Amino acid sequence: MHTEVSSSPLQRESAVRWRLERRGQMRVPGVVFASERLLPAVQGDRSLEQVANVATLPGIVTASFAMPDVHWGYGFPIGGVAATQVDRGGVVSPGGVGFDISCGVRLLATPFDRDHLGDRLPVLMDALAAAIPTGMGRGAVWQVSDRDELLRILTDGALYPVSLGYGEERDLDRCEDRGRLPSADPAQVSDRAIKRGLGQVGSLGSGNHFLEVQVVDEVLDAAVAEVFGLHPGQVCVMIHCGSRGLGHQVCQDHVRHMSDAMHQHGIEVPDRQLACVPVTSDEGQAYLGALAAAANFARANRQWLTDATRAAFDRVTGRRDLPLVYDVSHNLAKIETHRIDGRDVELCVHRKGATRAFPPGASELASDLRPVGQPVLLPGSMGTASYVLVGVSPGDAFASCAHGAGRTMSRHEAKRRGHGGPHLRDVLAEQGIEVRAGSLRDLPEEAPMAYKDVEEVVRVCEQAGLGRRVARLRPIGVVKG
Amino acid sequence: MTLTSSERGYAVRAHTADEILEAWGPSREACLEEAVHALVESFADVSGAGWCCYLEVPLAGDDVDLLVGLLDEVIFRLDADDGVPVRVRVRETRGGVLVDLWLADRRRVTGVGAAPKGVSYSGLEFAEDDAGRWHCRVTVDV
Repeated sequence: MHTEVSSSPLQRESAVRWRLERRGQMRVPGVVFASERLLPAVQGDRSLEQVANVATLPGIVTASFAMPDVHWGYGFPIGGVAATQVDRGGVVSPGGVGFDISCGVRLLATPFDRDHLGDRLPVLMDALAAAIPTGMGRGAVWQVSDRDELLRILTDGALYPVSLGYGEERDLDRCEDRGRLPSADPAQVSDRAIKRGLGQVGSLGSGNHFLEVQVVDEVLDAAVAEVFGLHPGQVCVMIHCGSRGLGHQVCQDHVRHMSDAMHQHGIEVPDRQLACVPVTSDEGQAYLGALAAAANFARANRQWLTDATRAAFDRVTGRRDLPLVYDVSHNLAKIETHRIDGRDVELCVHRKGATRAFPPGASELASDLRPVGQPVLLPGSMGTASYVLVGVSPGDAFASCAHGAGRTMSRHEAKRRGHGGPHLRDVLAEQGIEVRAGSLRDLPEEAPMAYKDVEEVVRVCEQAGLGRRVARLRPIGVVKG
Repeated sequence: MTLTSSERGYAVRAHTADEILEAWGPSREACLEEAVHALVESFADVSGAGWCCYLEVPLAGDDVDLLVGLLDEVIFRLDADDGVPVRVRVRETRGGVLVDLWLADRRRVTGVGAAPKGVSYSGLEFAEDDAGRWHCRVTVDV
């Protein structure tokens, strides 16, 4: 079967895998993971053009990949994965990470089943809404004492709040990179970025960020779920946020620097937001140092929100033992070794709106997770199910998986078609979902109709060999960012 | 959402995940002012909010640098100082512009959408047409 996409043939390789043939300056083909149901959404915006643009990056190997939740971004599509070979002039591109560096998801288990919470849910949601700073500007759980303390956060990530008592050792075991990227170089983070970060350590932000109280609705792999610490009926908490203004400023600054510097490296790109330089160049190393610092900020941010969540649970239920299931980023570039054509190759793997999904046996995983594989956290849209998946062997797209349902509708369209924030809140309440939002006016921006069907996205992930379903979680409470 | 006159105006266009701002005016500086209006309207209702802080911001560079630099400044002030522009004036200088910003306290304005966080170069346009009218189009990460 052939289907025309932007005058380029999209060839079907399997029921859920499509190939965008090389054309023009593309160095590798594009590969899109989608079912026939998801394909119109992929074709409906400019994400395929962006998949093709990414394929022109120097040093890119294998393919420019699009996850099942791919949608129109800037430079890279959101849901894009691209790896470049470091020793062959492979580049790093801030646009391949995105503005919200190390934006990610963390899942906490609780000792409660839904029945045990009883009618305390509204009180719990009030306590969480009061404890979790949301919205624009300053306002955070942690009051940073001075610039030096922020630099410490950029260096030590989640290790810093844990060392102060705002967390436990297991929080580090179950966090990607044990909560800290040692390659952080805070000197590469601008003064403007530092100033944006000072008032935001321990805050959700706005847009699609959220804290959800969820219930394990269905366990699809009991053995793996047990290793992850999940069982049917269990109450969980999912937190989605990133590096706030600091990470955005790092991206802004380094795209600007690289768009000036890349010409010295003989690099031209079809979209300035794809500005890039060789990984091994001074500018590339500077960005990777700043990126790691911003990622550490994001992990510390989620750690402080975790402590605030535990404190809120403690106030309402008398229990604060909410163990971390996992914390994984979906906006990041990392130096990883992958096997290509029978040999191990050092790659710079960009995942923008895509989740790392290491298979069983990966040495980077904590010892208890290594036999089963890495947890992959895939939030649905507000009011719909979220999923826990696990990385599979051999995996695909450099061990990557989708990161969510994926938008199909702009925020304006979602507002225009919706019936207002109070109506949406009431509809969700009828479904047993308590919503807490700082402003009901922008609540419809995140309405479920603005997103793809998460069930279909997850089904495609599984069928395409990107991950395997472990548990389905349904929301019972939302604190909207 | 669109505000237009025969001379100048702005609009916020749909983008799957973010916001596309368009602005136009009879001069580069007027277009830059309208771009700030578009950015603010995308996330805040500042009607009735008084200013509490005034800033003078010099910007230098080519036209694109000025546009990105100005929007980046507004985003920076929101995160760093809780400031939201309620009035803006842009004047030409040698090699750039001088921006006057009157900021309201963020806590005194009503949020109406996701806050802007970054300015993308993807699809960015800022140019003067044959009739001498300036137009810009820029995607903002939210």
